[in-house]
Amino acid sequence: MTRAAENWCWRGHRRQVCLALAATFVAAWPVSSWAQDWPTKPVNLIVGYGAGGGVDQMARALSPKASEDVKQPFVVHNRPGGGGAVAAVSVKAAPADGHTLVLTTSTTFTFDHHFAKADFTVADFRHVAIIGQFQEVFVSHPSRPWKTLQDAIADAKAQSRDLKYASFYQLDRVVTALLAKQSGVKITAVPTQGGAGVVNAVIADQVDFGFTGGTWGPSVTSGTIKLLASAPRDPLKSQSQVPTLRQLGYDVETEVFVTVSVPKDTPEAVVRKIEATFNKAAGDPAYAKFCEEGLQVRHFNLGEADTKKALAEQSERYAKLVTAVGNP
Amino acid sequence: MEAVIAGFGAALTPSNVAFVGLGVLLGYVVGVLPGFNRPTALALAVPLTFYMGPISGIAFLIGISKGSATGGAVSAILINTPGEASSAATCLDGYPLARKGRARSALLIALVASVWGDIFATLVLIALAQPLSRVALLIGPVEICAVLFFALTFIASLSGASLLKGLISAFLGILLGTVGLDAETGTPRLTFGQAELFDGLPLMVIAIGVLALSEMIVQMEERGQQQGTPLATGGDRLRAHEIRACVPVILRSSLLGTVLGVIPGLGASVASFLAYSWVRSTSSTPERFGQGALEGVAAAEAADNAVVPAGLIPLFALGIPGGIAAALIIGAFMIHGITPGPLMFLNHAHVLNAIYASMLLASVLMFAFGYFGSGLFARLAQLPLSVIVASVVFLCIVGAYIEGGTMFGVYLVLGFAVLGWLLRKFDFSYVTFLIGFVLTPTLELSLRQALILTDRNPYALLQHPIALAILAVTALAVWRMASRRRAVTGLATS
Repeated sequence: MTRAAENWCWRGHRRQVCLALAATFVAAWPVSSWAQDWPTKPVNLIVGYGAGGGVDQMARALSPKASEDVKQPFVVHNRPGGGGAVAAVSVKAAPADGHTLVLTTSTTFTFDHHFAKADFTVADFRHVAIIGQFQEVFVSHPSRPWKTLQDAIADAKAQSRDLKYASFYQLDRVVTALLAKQSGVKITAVPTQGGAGVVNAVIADQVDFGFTGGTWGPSVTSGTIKLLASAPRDPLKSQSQVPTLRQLGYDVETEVFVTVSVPKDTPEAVVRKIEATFNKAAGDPAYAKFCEEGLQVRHFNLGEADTKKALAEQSERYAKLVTAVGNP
Repeated sequence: MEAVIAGFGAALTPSNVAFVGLGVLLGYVVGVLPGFNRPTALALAVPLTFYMGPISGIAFLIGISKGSATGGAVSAILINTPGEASSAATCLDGYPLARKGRARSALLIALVASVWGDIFATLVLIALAQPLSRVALLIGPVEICAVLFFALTFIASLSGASLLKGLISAFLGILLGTVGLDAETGTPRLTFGQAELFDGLPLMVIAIGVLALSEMIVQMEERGQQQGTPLATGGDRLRAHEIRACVPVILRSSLLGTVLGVIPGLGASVASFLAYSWVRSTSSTPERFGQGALEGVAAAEAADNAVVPAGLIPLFALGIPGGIAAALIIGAFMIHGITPGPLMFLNHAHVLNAIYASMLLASVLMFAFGYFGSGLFARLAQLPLSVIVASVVFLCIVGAYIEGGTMFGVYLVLGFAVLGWLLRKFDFSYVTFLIGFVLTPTLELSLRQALILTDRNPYALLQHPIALAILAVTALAVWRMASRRRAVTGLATS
């Protein structure tokens, strides 16, 4: 405010200003008590990825159920960029009243900062819920003579050649760097455009294998690609015979949850309500079916306490992994 | 073909026709409005398809895709604002036509080109999906890279009067196309620490800034000097010789769009710019382009629309999702228990045939809606300039905000409006700027993939005869252009 404007405010219009301040106070007063009655207006669900991707589809499947539950619309906004960073930055700056939530992957908070500096940390948010986990897999063309990823690595070793694979993003490069270190075979990442790019490269047999967390189900079902290994700790839900990296003897795993978070100053009572809303919505059997069959996402949901613990462990694990392999 | 005719039996139920019509109409509206794009419309529509049968559901989604590709031309022609990123090339001649009072002709040609491109590619999909998809598998990063190198040679013929200025703006486009995280190492490039820039500059926002908003600055300047050109649309009729000139262009561009659409990862924006460049550089009167050549509109729209059905070829035949729209359609198939891929042709042939029939139905409905719509929208061009400029500025800024999701998109669009205005003022080609920008991300990614896959060994090219042939044609094109230019400058100096 300029000096002149200040003068205007205080000299000639002191009474109006006082009244206005009082009115603001009165208007603001009920809001803080309403905060207990979350939500009092439509809730903005800021999705860290573009429309149509797996994360977005989960958000869009959940929001009608949550809306029905709390009698206020949940509005999905896509704010893609930097693996969820753009969405996280905008929600960090949003009012901490529970009406602006960020729905993104856990790696936005636990992993990406190792590669591109972010303007937020995992501690800037309260992570209210986990609503599913992507199941990353290694896949190859069906004509390759391998049953598991270990066969591919052994084959490359015997022929003393490199392996080239279609890469999804930085996370798989760290994982394969560790595989390379442990096995002594050079594994080179071929960058592609998203999960679809990986599947394309594998179906066209341009690479030895591919890594994807996206929708690999249809291509596996139709037999145009085959599974060599799964990367998370637990075996795949639908195809438990596929070995995990740990079962193949590698001390590494991937873990990408889909999380719902709010700014850290959000009132406790509101956080509890958001937690309950998402637990109820994500517990819906139709949502579970959509995740598991439509997206190959492992369906489960956790509340705030478990989410917090899971993300803390994940941060630490990824930090160790990145240190172990160096920045690939 | 007989099976497809049988498919019409399943497709022509009242509810199916209604869903296809609704999809096309929805897509058309989304296409007209800048800021609402195809993937968002599809993402919103997918949950609705849960409640439809498989035929209606898929046809609904395909209707949205097709409709948006057609609708994008309307705002491109009338207000120089591409409704979809892939209609940016339509602006280049569509808007000058509208300024000359020929909005209706431009809209009609765009519609005919769109519908023909769409029908042609749909027929190719029906007849040749399986053999063509196998060809698509032969096109890897090395071949894509060669195609894009060839595409760069078009810059020379699009540069306008000065090749040097054309190259400078092309390089500016290329430079801005490299903004974002490095694909191979994940290192941020030219992002100035802004997370918004990590995934690169958004084409849509840049196209709105450079094409639409900067044009509005020019209009406002001109208005200061003279009253804006009055638009006499009364005598605007397509003449027979114009239609004759457009027919071969539409045929060629539909073919090009279909070929490029089959290759996963290239996309409609690249295809429409390439078709435009191709037609312009092979025209006997290239100087008319950019000033309002109907052929330019026809080329961009035919290719843009051909990509939509052609992109379904690898999806249907192999289950390869070419892009986000295709990935959503796969999801819709899976919900109904159908897996796209070779088995679909055996196990679900009747569903597939009914989908084919619905797609052809969508093309017909698209023509009907488009014909009605263009008559309606063409009247907008007669509004006074003051109203047009104000509403376009409003639409541009809202569109940029929705597209970017934050104020960042608005700042970008304002910045690029100034850049576009400077390019115009100093006679640098904004066409080559856009081409450089559109081609760079795909070119860079495929070049780096190609280098890794071939171990940076030039002899590995010998295993890629298609790429070698394209590179040879590229070299020939450069040599021919260089010798022609030398001849022209030689004439000028003597």
